[in-house]
Amino acid sequence: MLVCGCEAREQQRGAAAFGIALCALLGPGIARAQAAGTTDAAPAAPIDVVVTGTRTPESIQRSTVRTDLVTRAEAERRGATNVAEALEGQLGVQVNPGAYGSLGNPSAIQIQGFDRDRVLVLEDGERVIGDVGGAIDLSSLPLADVSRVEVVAGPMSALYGASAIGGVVNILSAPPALTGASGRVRLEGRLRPGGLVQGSGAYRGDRLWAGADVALEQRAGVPLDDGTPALLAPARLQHMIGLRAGATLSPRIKLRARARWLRDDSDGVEVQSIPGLGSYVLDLPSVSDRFAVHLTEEVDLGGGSGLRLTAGRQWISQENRKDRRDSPIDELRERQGTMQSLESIATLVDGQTRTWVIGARAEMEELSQSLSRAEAVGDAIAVHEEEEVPRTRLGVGALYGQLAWRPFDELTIMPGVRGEMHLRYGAVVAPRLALAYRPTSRLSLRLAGGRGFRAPSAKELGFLFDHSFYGYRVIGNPDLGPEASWGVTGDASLTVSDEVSFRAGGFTTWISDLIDFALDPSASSGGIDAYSYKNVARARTAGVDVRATLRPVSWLSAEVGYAYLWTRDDTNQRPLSGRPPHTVMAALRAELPAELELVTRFRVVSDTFVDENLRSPGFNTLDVRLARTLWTGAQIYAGVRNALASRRDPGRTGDQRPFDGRTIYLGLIAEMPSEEP
Amino acid sequence: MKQYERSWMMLAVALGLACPACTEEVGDDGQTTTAGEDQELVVEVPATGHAYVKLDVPEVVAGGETSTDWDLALSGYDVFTNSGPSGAGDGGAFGPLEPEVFDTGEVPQIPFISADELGGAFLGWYFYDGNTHRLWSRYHVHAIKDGSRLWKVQLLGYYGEIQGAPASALYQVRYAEVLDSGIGPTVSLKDVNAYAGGAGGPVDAPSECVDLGTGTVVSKTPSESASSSDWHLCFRREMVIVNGELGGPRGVGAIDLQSAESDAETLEQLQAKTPESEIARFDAIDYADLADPALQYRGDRVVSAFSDLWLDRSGATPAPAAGTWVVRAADGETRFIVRIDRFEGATEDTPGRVVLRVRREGAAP
Repeated sequence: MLVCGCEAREQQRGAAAFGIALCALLGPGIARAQAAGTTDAAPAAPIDVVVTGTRTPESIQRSTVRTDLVTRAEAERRGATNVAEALEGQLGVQVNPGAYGSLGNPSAIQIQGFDRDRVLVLEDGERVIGDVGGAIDLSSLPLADVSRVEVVAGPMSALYGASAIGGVVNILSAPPALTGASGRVRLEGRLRPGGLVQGSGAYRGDRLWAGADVALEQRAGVPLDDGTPALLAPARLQHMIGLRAGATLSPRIKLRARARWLRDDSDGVEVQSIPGLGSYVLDLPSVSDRFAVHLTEEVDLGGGSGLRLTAGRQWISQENRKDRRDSPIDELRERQGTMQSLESIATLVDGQTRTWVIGARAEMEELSQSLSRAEAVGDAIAVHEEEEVPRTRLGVGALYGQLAWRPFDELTIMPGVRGEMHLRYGAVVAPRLALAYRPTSRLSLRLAGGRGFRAPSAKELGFLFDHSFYGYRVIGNPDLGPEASWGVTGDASLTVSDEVSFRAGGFTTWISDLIDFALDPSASSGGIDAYSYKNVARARTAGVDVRATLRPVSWLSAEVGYAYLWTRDDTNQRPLSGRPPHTVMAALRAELPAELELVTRFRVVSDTFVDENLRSPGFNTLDVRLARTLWTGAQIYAGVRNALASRRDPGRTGDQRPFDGRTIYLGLIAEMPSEEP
Repeated sequence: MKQYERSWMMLAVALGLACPACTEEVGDDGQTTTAGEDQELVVEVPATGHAYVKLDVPEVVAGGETSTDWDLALSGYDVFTNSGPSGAGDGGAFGPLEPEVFDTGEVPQIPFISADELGGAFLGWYFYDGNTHRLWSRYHVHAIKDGSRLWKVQLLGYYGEIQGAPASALYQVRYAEVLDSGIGPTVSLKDVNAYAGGAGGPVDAPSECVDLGTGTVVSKTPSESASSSDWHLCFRREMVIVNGELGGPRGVGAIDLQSAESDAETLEQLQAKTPESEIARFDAIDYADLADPALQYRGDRVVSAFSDLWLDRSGATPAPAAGTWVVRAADGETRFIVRIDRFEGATEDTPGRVVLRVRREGAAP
């Protein structure tokens, strides 16, 4: 895989870093094909190159679309072991599992006030499947093989299709940085009790490279502390095994393959209080397996143009049990899904000022869900099987194109459009226009507007949730159409000096045809109200954020920022639930004597509207990490996440504060040989 | 460049200060809607049969069960909306709100509009906890009248245990016959099966019915119970049916003696109650309580948001209770606010001429 016109044969770290930086600075005008996937040509960590916003590599400072970047090194400085923790403190997004208690506390991300399947989560440019209620649990994605995480806010459906309404999170891996054999290990112990082992080994030769990554993380459950065995968060054991390989078939053709297996075992405990009977304890074991294979071929067409072909397949299998203690009356919910995709992206350099990106994608997703319930029939036990989501196929074909036109050096105009044909509901067209104006090397102004949409999920199309005992049922609606949004995002960056920079941004989004429940009189009968999913609702979100980065002395850097979010559910005339309006973030990084590094991050999240008569309290978090270099490439560290122990009150309805309280950790990271200079 | 910095910082501060004011309001430009012109209508209400009212004009119209050309129907001391079993429309009502709501025309946000439904004295026997989907008994004592015989009944729970697991629609009940000479023995019924195949089950699935006189529990389909007299109460899922009026042919009447407490009851309060703690409430009810002539024993019937709540029965003949109702018209769209001003010529069976006032919600005053 290549970046810009630079030949990616740099085998020495310094040369590679120079090459990447140079390519990035040259910008998209002469960028060679680099879809929003990996940064294969990046032998050194390309910390200032982003690809997600435009599907072409750009330096983050000069990118046409604003992109936030969290490298693995930065994530580790934040005390993160997974993608959710890496993004938790990021200004402009919210990652708080406490806000999704009804779904089992997945670490879903909110961007621009949108979440769940209105935010697209990618791994190396490929959509991640295996959601819980539409939410991808970012805490199930370990950092072991992650090079960096890019976050682009705003509608991105013109490039990525469905779900890219609030924004896109792209989790990127990278090939081994060094020639020859290399390895990396991270060991960590935690209180709340738990442990982490992450390891990578790789070999890079002249034409071939290969690597393997493993991760094992265990965390104890979080007790509810109400005198019962109930857990606020389940005990978890996560495994990851990944294989990566690449080959240079010829000077113009490169291949890359990646396979990854993730298993997430969790053991929750719930206590049901039954009126008149007392308490019953349920064990809630669940197992989730996800296996993904991703193949990429890159062809250098010469003159800066290139072609990228990808094929991907993912399988998910989820099992959720309700094992009632001392009783055979149990439940098992099983969910199976697959997705396969083919994509080709051509990047064509057209003279000195124009670069075209033209792509085509075909995708087929299948999902089914069943419920097996043991019921008492007299003195016997009968197992009742029920198909909650019959096997549903969602197929889509897409064509998209984007032009990066630089009429003069200071201005980039980037129109794009994507057309998708969905087997279920027909065609969708999503245009976008992005502008970037850099009147001076220190000032950058960016504006992007476009359409986003969300395809109805298999659940919304085919789900049957029979709660008729309480007088209602929820029935899927095969006639649903996509939700659609218009959004505008803009920002300005000012670099006053090497030590001081500012950035301010704003956005607004209108979304219509939101899918929501609605009473369906035609399906109601026998006193049972039937609710069906319908395209009925409208909403708006808007916000601003400002941040400043300071480096007053060479050993100290600081960042401070504020984000404001306004949301409105226009159908129900109220704010959207669980969207904190105010967030303040402050971070400090100090390089101290004796090779010590101190990192602190402080975050203030305001109280949040939950319901007409319900608000979730605000909370503050403070993360502190102290690391000491043992030798080049190795450090020992200790820290505390959520030092202020902000925590949900389990007895308080609607409390969406974090559930896991304070976590203290101690660990070791070692690279062999070091990637550091 | 310093000027740039200052501008950015001022902008950030201004936005930060301005935004909280526009953040989290609920409702459409405030909390209330205004109403149209106040109009009065006089309705002659028969003791039997119905007087139908269209609120738009307002006027008395021909109406009929299959018609959607009416919004309220009055029959004796009952008021119905054009919804559910009462009519073919998509009407409904909510109330009572404070009487002043009618005068000001400022209607607060209301959580829902209730359609008419079939039921009676046991409609409000439980509190539904929407978070856990559990039914919590209010432990109210219900009085049952069958001819000259009287019983008091307390529903203790909706759940029983099967194979170590809780099961719903298994009623726990205690009752006792109440005589002028004293209280009969308390009878406890355990696990009265009201499952009926679950709500998604067949409409003709049987459930259990109880004869309070003999203590006999029999299983009956809805059609069997509707045509038989060998029971007083039938338990069908979350509903408890009384064998009188629309519920069955036996002429049984019932009343919730503590229905007035329902509005003030909270989930937390009910969760703290147990069958043991509430036995005192059960024991406290005696013959005088059940024989009070002010009690209106009724079988099952069509119940609307007006039922029982629109009447003040403290006088010799009923009078309108203070309150304002929001009525959704049969078209399912238009809403009116309605207040009953007075009855003229009320008797035991009919309020006579009902004088009501109507304003259209949302119109300019």
